[in-house]
Amino acid sequence: MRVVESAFLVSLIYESGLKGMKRGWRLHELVSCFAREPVARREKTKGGTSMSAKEKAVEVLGNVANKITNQKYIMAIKKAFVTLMPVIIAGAFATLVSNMIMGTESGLAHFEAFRFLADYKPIMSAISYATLNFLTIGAVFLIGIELGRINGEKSLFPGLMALIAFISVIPTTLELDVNGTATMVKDVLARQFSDPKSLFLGMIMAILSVEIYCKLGRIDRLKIKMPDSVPSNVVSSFSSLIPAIITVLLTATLGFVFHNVTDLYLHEAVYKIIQQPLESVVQGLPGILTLMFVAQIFWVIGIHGNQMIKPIREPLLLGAIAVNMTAFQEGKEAPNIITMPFWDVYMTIGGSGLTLGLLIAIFIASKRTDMRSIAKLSIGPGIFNINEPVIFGLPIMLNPLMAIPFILTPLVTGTIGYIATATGFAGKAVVMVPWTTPVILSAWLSTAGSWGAVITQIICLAVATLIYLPFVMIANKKDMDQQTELTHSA
Amino acid sequence: MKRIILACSAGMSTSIVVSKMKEEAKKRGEAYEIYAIPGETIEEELQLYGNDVVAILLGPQVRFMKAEAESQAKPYGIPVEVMDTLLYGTANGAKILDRALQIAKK
Repeated sequence: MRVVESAFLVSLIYESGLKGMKRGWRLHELVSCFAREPVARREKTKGGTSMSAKEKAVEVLGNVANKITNQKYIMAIKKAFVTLMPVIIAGAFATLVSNMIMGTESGLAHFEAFRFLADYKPIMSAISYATLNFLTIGAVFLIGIELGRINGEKSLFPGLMALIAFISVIPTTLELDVNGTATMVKDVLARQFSDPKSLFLGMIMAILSVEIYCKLGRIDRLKIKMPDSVPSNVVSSFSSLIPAIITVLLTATLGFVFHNVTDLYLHEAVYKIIQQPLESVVQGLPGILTLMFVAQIFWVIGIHGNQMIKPIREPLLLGAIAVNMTAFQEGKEAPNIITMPFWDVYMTIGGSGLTLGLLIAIFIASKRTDMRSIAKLSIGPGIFNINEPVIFGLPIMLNPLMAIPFILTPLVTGTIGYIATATGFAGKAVVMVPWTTPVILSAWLSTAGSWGAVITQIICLAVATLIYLPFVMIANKKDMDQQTELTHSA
Repeated sequence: MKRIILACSAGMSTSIVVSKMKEEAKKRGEAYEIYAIPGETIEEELQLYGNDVVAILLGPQVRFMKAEAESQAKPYGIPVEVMDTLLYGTANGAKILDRALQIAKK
């Protein structure tokens, strides 16, 4: 289990880190190292000994990070979701306008003078249908392009290849219940194939088909030869012909054989065996807290933790918010408690580790000028949930004292947010908001105006501040000890 | 104009460092275009401006991107370096600019 390994590694970091502190690996000393050459500082932190357990742990985690991020399928999925973000935000915009302005119950159109706005609701519905309900199609196309690019393919064809392969395995005949009799409807693309419900089948088909296509493309015998006088663009369009035909032949056959052998469609199997179990893990509190825990461990060694968990987090949590937005748009009850905004609103206020709480704790209780000045520098970006200055400047990175509350806090506030949402005190997130949206505004917007969510978020921030406070006070004391030590030795 | 690129995850936290570096460059009268981009877009950026870029600096939180960035920068002979964590965390524009100019492609 990777999680268990990480937990073990982090305990190693703590233990050896505490030893390191006794050896004089202190915060303010590091900060005072600015004037020195980086090399000199590096020697200082090593303390002249051979590789310590802490360094080993950092190296191992660093290697894990390298492996994860350089894995090509993970790279392709991550990049695809970066490109998909505007699509989701556009859908969020439409949902928001549709309900808060054009809604006759809770929106501006509730008032007689603005009633006419409700007539324009179909515009917003069209936007939300085109964006949120076509998330899978976009993802398949983009993963295809990105994977093709990683495989050295210069054209955009792999995107199309992926889409064709995906469509080739899904049924286009629907059995509909019309007035009690089952009716077959031909030639339709059901919504469950374009919306997040088929996301995992889409990702699998995109990867599978582009891999096959690129492998076949490298086989010389499958290339159609052209005389030298033919322009290179024309040559390349012909050279991909045979690989494309073989690829789609294989995927369509796969869909056909699978259905005949198992009497299940591929999409049903992938949903039941892969997507649904993953969704239910992440929709449960232990699942989401584990994901957060892993991200925080990476941050503690100074590696972008969210980047590590994105390949799992993004499809599931973005899918969850897309489903909630669609339900909200249609006036139905949103099904998912844990969504991308849930993560941002309750578990990363001011950035990973709820460092806005840490900054407040420093302003309240810190007697150290070094920490106060970093906090001043960090408060501006912190309001927009950017906290690299805190993580690297304070630092939290490799600092056992601050790592404890940094890892603990989001787990506590995530639990608070979950309980508040599950009991109905806070509204579920029904609108995607960018992660840079400031505190209070993010809770209010993402839940389409739930004051319970705003209050819960404020409670989370207060709890974060309380958790960080004692550690800030210990940091004060450590600084004083250091001062006395220095005077004694001098 | 010669360009110095800083890259991190979304290009946001790095833009804090960028503004400090710009201030410093202005003070010294150095004419460089300094800006932040998301790490994922380094390749596209180089396709456009590869010949003008003299250095690529990565945020320490995305140091795992170094190998990939290096392979993308190699054809242009651009050096890639991960910024020092403390200089980065404290947004020490002067020191990071020093380092960038030190490694910059001549």
